Order: sequence, then structure tokens, then C-alpha cells
Amino acid sequence: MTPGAMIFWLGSWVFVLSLTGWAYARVLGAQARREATPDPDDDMTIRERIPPTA
Amino acid sequence: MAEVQQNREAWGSRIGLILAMAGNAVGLGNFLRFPRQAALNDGGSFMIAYFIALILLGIPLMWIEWGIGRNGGKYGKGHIPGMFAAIWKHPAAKYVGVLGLAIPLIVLIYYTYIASWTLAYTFFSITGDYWGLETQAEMTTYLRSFQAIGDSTVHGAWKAFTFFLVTLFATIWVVSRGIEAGIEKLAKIGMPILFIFAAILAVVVLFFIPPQPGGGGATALDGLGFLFRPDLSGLGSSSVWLAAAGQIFFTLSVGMGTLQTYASYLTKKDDILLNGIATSATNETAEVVLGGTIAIPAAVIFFGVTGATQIAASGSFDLGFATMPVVFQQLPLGQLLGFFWFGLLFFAAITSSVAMATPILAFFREEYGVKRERVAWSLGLVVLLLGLLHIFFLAQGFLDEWDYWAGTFGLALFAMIEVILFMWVFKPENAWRSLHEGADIRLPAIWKFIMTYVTPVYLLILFTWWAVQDAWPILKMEVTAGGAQPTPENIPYIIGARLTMVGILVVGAVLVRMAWKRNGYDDRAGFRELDEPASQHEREADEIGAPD
Repeated sequence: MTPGAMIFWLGSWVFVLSLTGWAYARVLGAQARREATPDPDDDMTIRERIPPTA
Repeated sequence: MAEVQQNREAWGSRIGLILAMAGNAVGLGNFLRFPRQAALNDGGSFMIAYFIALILLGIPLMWIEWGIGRNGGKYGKGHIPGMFAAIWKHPAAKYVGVLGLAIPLIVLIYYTYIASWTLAYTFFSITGDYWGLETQAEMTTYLRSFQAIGDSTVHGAWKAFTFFLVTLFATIWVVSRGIEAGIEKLAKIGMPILFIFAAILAVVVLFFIPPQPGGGGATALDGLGFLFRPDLSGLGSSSVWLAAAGQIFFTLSVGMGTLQTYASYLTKKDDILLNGIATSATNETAEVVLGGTIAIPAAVIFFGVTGATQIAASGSFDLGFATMPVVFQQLPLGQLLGFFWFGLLFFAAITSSVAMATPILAFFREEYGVKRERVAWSLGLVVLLLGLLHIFFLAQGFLDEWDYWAGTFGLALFAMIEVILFMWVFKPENAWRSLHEGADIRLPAIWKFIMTYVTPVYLLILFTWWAVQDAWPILKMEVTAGGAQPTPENIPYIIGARLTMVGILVVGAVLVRMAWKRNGYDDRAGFRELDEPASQHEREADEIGAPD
């Protein structure tokens, strides 16, 4: 593998994995904050709702 | 007037939602189409164009589709005709939205058939059925015999049909169980398995396959060096930019109408911006990190760069279903590796298939009040009957025709329409505000400019290029959708395939019209939000009873 190809290959991996890691870290952090401070006006964020009749 | 749905389904967890959305996006293309496109389009140039397209086209479209979906969900609309009518208060909106019912249905039908091949080959890997067929030509014959009903050269005549039935049953069963108990559960099980299988295969290819005689001593790093070769001359070629943009478009499953339906089960208190990025990033990990490390590098090790290029040029299915089995037969634990490869392709396919069924389910449940299980199994019957057309007429180009017009051209057309509706008709300010409701991040203002101007123009260029370059010659039958010359024997099947698709569109439009009449919708007034109390006028109308 040439140095240039190595740069493209590793650069692609670093970009994608960094984006993925950042996204999931933010998701987990945000979700932890939401669950720590529930909205008293809303008990209908992502969780089981009243089962639909249909 | 139809009873407003107060109790719509919901996702059980945020991670389940992201995995389901990622499952929708991750498909056969991540592991077969991407490496092929990178190999054929100057490697490094392709990757630069690819990541630019991800930023300017892919992620913005992902957000726009989630936004359209959640906005429709406010009104109890999990289907595109309703979502478009919620944005654009015009009688034409619901008919334009029929594309969002027809496209996922058409793609579901032939995609289920392709998914059944992956299930069959998973089984064949375990049983060692194809062991001994150690050349590309022999494995290609094996594949063609499997696909051709009545050809018992290698397989029993009805083997393909049996696996199609099993795959279809599994798909419909998951869908019939609903959003949380069916689709989310499949994603929570299937996506980790997919990633584990792919990671094992990537590690094996990278570290445990020595150079082979047929590859002239090439290693996995040589294979990756070929895929990611720093040939920047391709950046001056429009075909590389278009190929890269096209791959981003298809890999994220935008333009299908399915992401919108999934997003319709969210509320304005749920985030869609950060979740959309997580979904896109998960798809890119499957594609660039894993998909790019398996098929083409393995092909280079066994066949050399020239051989791998020829294999890539021959098509994605040959790479996945002919080349990879040849590779596995040369490796220790080859049957297990084959099981991992086709197993991950099966999970990639079925998590996408179940998504394609959901817009149809949402439409019949919400507009006709039909129970979920009844819609699901009825849909299964429709897929079975129309799927027979692909099973019997595969060699005549029936699948290629549907794949082009619905799964390629149709997606681009639909995506262009929805971007214009959400960003221009709905207005950028409303779209921007809508996307930020419940958001856990705040987008820099540049993204508003990108979504309003750059993404639509990028998409328009892409669509126009494809229309002129590919669609027009295919429409005139100068070339088939599969890239061959039409023959007098195939032309009736090509026409039949087109007429069937038109028929599906017409039936969809009729059903939408009937639904709007039976539910008494006013195109100009729009829908009432689920949380909004009925007006006095509406309550009185309900008491009197709406006409059928």
C-alpha cells in the first residue's frame, strides 16, 4: 500500500469512527440528562404508550 | 369523519430507534455496492467526493426525511400522502405522495426475493452445498441455477421459491408484531449480529489470509490500497462525483418513504437532529469501515487487482454470491465464514425489508382502520403474488426494470420532490424550527443554507444527469435497465414490468382518493393535530355522522 493510499484509508476510518463515536457519546449523554430531569408536562417521550386498539 | 388516532405506536427506546433507522439504511449496498463503486471510480477521488456528498446531500436529506415524518406524525399520518398533504395544502399533494407508497412496495417485492438468496446461501454455507465449485464460472452457474425456477442443473426446481416463502414469512411476521415488539426488536438483535459478523470477516481478511497464487502475492493491504488509491485525477470527472453522490443517496435509504414512516412515531419532544447523525454514522461505519474491508480486498488477494477489477465490473451480485464463496472455500473454517458473510447480508436485507413494509401498513391502518396484522398478512400475499413475476422472469429483465425505475430513478425523483416541499413550500424558517423541536443539538446556521439551496441543487444536478444519461436511453429501450441490448424476446417482459409499476401507482392513487373521501379531509384546510381538541363544528359533524 502506498503512503497516499494509507492516508486515504486511515483518514476515512478516522473520520467515520470519530463521527460515530461523537454521535453516540452525545446521544447517551443527552438521554442521561433527559432521564435525570423528566418533563412533568410530558410522559410520552420514547417509551411504551397506551397500546393502540388496532 | 374518521376517528382521530389518539394512541399511535411508539419506539421503546432511543437506541432501538437509532438501530432500527440504521437497519433501514444498512443493506446489501453497504457490503456489495460501495466496494464495487470505490473500486471502479478511482479510489481516493471517489472517497473525497463521497464524504463531500455525505455532508451536503446525505445527512441533510436524512434530517429532512425525519422532519417530514415527525411532522406527519403530529397529525397521525405515517404515510407520505398524508405527510405531503400536511406540508402542502393542495389537492395534488396526496397524489404526489403516492410515490411514497408505490416505491417502497415495488422495492419490497423484489428486495425480498434478493434477501431470500442471502438466506439460502447462509444455509448452503452451513451444509457445504457449494463446496467443490472453486471457480468464479462454476459459482456463477450455481447462482443462475438457483435463481431459475425449473432449472435443476444444480438445485432442485423449487428451492428458490421455498427460500422466498420463508424470507417473506419472516419479514411479514416481524412487521405484524408492530414497531416496538417487531421492528425495534429485530434491530436490537439483528444489527449487533450483523456488526459482529462483519467485524470477524474484516479481521480475517486483514490479518489471516496469506497471499494466494491467483493473486500474484497481493495482500489485504494491497486490496485496501487499490480501493483507496490516491488518484485525484478522478476529481475532474463528473462521473466520479455522480457515482459518489449516488452511493451516498442509496446507502442512506433516502427517497424511499421509509425513514419518514419510522420518524412519524416520534413527537416534537424527541430529538431528530442528533439521532439522524447517529443513524448516518452507523451506516457509514458499516459501509466504509466494514464493507470496504471485506469483499474487494478478499478478491484482490485471490485474483489480483486486475481480476478484482473485472469482478467489480461484472456486478455486485457476482461479487457477493460467486466470488466470495470461491474465497471461503480456500480458507480454514470456510463454511463458518460463509455463514457469517451471508448471515450478515441477510440481516442487512431483512432490516431494510421490514422498513419498506411500514408505509403501506401505516396507510391502511390510519386511513381505513384495518388492524395491523390483517394489513401485514394481506401485504404478504400481494408481495408473494407479484414476487412470482421476479422469480419467473428474472432472466428476462423484470427485476432490473423495477430496480431501475423504482429503486434508482424513483428514489431520486421522490427525494427531489420532498426537499422542495419541505424546504421551499413549507418554508426554510418552518423547516428549521421543526427540525430543532426537541433537539439535543443546535445546528450552525450554515446548515440552513445547505439544506435550502445546496442539497436541492445537488440533487437536481444528480437527477438531471441520470435522467439524460441513463433514464432516457432505458425508456426508449436503446439499452435495458440491466445494461444489455434489448432482445425481441425480452421486450414484452420489459413492457410488462413497466405496466405493472404504472398499475401499482394507479391503484395507489385510487386508494388515496377513496381514503380522503371516506375520511372527509379538506385538502385546503389540512389536518387537525392529534393533541388538538376538535372544534365545535367538528364535534357537531361527528355527532351527525359523516357520509361514507
